Amino acid sequence: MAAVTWLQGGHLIPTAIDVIELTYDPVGTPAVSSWSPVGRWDSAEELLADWMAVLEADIGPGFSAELVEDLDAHAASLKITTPGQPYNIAWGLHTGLRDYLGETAAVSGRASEAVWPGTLPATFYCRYGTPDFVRSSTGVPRTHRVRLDGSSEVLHAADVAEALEVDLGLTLRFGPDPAGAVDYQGHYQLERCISAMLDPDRGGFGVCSLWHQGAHQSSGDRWVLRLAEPVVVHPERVLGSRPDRLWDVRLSVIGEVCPW
Amino acid sequence: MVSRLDVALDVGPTTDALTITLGASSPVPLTLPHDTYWTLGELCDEIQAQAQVEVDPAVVCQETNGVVVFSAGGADLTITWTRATLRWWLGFEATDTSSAAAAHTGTVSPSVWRAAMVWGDSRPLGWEWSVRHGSGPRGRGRMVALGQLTRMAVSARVTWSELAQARSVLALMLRGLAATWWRDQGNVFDFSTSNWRGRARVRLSPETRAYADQWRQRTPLQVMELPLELVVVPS
Repeated sequence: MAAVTWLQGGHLIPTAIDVIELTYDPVGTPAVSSWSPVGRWDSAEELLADWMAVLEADIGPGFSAELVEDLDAHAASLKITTPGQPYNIAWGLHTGLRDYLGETAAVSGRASEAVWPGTLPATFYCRYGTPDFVRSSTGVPRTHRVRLDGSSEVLHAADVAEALEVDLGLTLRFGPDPAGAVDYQGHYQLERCISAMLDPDRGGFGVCSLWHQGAHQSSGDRWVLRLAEPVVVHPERVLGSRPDRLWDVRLSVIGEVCPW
Repeated sequence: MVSRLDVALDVGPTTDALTITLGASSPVPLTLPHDTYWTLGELCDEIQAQAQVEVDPAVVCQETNGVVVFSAGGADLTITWTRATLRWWLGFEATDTSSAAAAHTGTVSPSVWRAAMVWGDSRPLGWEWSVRHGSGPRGRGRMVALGQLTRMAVSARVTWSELAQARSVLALMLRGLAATWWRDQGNVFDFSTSNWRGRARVRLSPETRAYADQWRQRTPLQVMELPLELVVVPS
């Protein structure tokens, strides 16, 4: 299996303005779970895990959520698995959470394991792994400094357990299906993804999670990243590739890592 | 796939008038509506529409490859330029049209650059967001978008014969004027997600303060490369 990289925007709900009400088995024995989340999630998977926990507490075991990649769309769609029966979903007046999950209206009679028709705007899935992920500097480089008189003082962040901010340069490589027609969906999904990540009405706050799974690895490494300024996405043709088939885009991001 | 740039003209008090005289008739002053004319063709269409109503239905003002021609179906025509900038923009000298003639043909407009060679586009489409930070420790508060620019970067290739036109157009764009850019002159539709190579309304990117001539072949001087960073003008 070739290396792959994917990205999910985070979600922030400062106050309880979103409501997601799921009715399980609406035409049989209806069971309702209503959730009004407040908090910060660094990825869609984190938020979905919390929602599934609420569903299981309210209705019973057997609920799970999965993001299903759509490589032609360069994004992912949601799939909810229930104990077997279909479900309805009603949203509150605020549509931020609904939009974040790629839905546009109330859900009615959706079957267990059905993949939702829309894709999550704040996702970017591509066919290729990142060619490089460069650590360029560390926010707090030293733990002490020596004064001119020879004395020294301890600086902030001398605690080895404190995470440091690191400037990172991330290259994403993407392109249409090599055997299919040329399209520019990757460009547009990238623009849609970053726009959603920076749109407070859809819970965006400039934070995302990045996974990279190397060839022959069974699971991916994950980083939590903030976008760095300037926020520019300008894909470049990969030298030597067939025209309009392969693109690299450089993103400046900030990660938090332990200093040593 | 050959490119073309037409600088847009904001017609205002200093560019809005000309006078046309057909044969022995009285001179007819025309006043153009104050508006942005995104291409030389659009400007000519407006002049022609006014002239056909005010002067004679036979008056034609046509643009072909950046050259403007006035005619009136064989009748003699005189043009008096009330606004020097409009005359210059259309590619005429003051004396060009002062004598009656069946047709008046200008030189290539200083607002038009028709490329002879295919331009390189290693980064044809991208975006930039202007952002605002919320409060938080070490600036870790939320980041939200305030605005968004669509960017198009190209490497224009300029032959010796088109150098004057290229410099004329870029000088206007460096002054902040917008332009219509045909990435491919054969594609006459607007740029969109379904027509990626369509024409777009652009400016030089805000950080552009100069442009650099980069000569590929020094002897003889044949082809120059001009890296251009363009931003799309929001419609």
